Amino acid sequence: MKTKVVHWAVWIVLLGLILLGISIIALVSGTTDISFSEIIRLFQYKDLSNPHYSIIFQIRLPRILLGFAVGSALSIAGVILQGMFRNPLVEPYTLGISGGAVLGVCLIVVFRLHKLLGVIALPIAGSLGAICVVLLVYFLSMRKGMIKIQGLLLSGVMISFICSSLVMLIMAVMRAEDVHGIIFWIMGSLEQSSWFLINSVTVVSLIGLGVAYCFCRDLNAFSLGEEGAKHLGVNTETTKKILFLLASILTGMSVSVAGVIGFVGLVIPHFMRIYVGSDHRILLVASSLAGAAFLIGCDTLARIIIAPQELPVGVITGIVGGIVFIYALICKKGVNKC
Amino acid sequence: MLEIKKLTCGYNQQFFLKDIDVNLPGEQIVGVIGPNGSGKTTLLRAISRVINPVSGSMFFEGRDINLISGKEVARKIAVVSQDMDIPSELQVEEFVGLGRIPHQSRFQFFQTKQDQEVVMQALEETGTVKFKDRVLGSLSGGERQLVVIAKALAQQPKLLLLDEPTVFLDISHQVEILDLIRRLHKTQKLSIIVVLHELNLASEYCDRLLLLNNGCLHRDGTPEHVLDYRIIEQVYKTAVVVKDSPVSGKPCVFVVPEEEMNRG
Repeated sequence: MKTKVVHWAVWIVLLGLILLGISIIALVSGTTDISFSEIIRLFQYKDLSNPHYSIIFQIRLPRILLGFAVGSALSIAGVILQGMFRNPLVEPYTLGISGGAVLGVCLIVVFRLHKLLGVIALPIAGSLGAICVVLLVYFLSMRKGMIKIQGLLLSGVMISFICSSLVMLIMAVMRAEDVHGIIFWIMGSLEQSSWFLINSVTVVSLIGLGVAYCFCRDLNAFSLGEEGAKHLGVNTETTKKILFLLASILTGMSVSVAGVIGFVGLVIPHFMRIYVGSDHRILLVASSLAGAAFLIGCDTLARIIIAPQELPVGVITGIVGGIVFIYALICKKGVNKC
Repeated sequence: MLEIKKLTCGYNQQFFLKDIDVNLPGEQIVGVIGPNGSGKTTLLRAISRVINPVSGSMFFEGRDINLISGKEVARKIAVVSQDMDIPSELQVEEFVGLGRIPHQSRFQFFQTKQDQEVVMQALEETGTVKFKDRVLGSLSGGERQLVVIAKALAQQPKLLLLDEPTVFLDISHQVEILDLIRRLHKTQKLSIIVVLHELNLASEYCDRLLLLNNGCLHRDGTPEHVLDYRIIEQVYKTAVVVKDSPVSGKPCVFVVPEEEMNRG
């Protein structure tokens, strides 16, 4: 037990350092060269007249913060869903939760409700869309009072398709100037000018981690299957509902602010499970840190790879995440044949 | 200990158990036997509250079991079920530690000293200390079953329900598991209800047998009383010969192959 705690602490410190390192790299890299010592000075003296001040504090720092919030929220949602269903293929995207969030946000944008209700309408619409999809998937895959995982995945994928078709329909009838913004947003980008949105996603993802952590024992019990969890006194139905809701809100918030950023919720929990083990007490924290680091890293790459132009970060996470995932599968086969 | 009154339950309006009436005082090892699909597993599921009864009631230590919280039930009744998912990447000690969940509050994130002691004790009792650091996926069937029992013991239950704990095991492991169950029953005053397919093992190890047939309690009593060849032939629709075991004097069931039947 003692050795386990030490092991966990080492991992948390290590992942924290990696996150810090990647964040510093993200701060110094970009089209304008700003050295690390200069950044330290900017942080110390808050020299507003320095042109680099606004680059750091209004462009790079918000992106890092948003990357932290979204990366961690998506990873937590992935851990929760994979833990509940004991299936590594389940994540916000495969269950159609992201698709629902995209549809919700698109509807708001096309009816220009965000101009009317303020910018807060976007995350709310995203979360509502996500929750609607979760409810739909949940009831579609309910058979005899029990959820069947195959049905869940299938209906999730189908609803995902339906949602993206509806989004295309919306885009087809939309004014041209809105379409460009939506396409870029759907591809996933951490560029966000509203501090309010950045702060609210950060707060939600931190609260999400806290709430999920209160359910870490239940998630551990779920590894024995639903019946096994019941035998350990877990109220499986209520727990599932709460965790579903939590995963939808986390996903809906992330999607509405940063667009569709794939693979984080699939790859990060999978890797962390290999390295730190499947105990959710460490898995949740480790995945949250690793997801944040991964997304900030990918975003930095997206910014500098074809500078001065920018790639959508969703493209990078998709490619990097997918390749690394396949590589890990091959390596794992070689090592312990499972 | 456990009193079942007029219990009827099933899945999807189809009744698998009808009007079961049993009083289990707890100082016996109770075996549940019966043909496939006779409702043995359903009975265990009803007792452990995985499925809800359609009608009837169950009293555990004098209290209506449906009024006890799930967590409290899990501190009193542990289940070794047949189709539990075994997370193969988990270490034995971690897995047994999951049995402590019913004793831990939502905000208790680490095991207390007592938790660790109970887990250690459960490992010792089942003789699984020697592979406590191995992962479940690397264990043999017999070792895995011992570990599953250890997890159930870590719940510190008063009643242990086992669903065919000896299935797929060779005779040495069958005997090992059932000897362990008997030992636990004696030393820890643990009440046992065990579903067994193998009639001879049930006869040998159980003090009392419940014979289920088509969801009804067909016969209830000592092995000598239940394992009568006429009853077995009626319920299992198979010709058998019952003789006393030369070792323990308990009834022993022998099957009669078709060829033998034609000859005699």
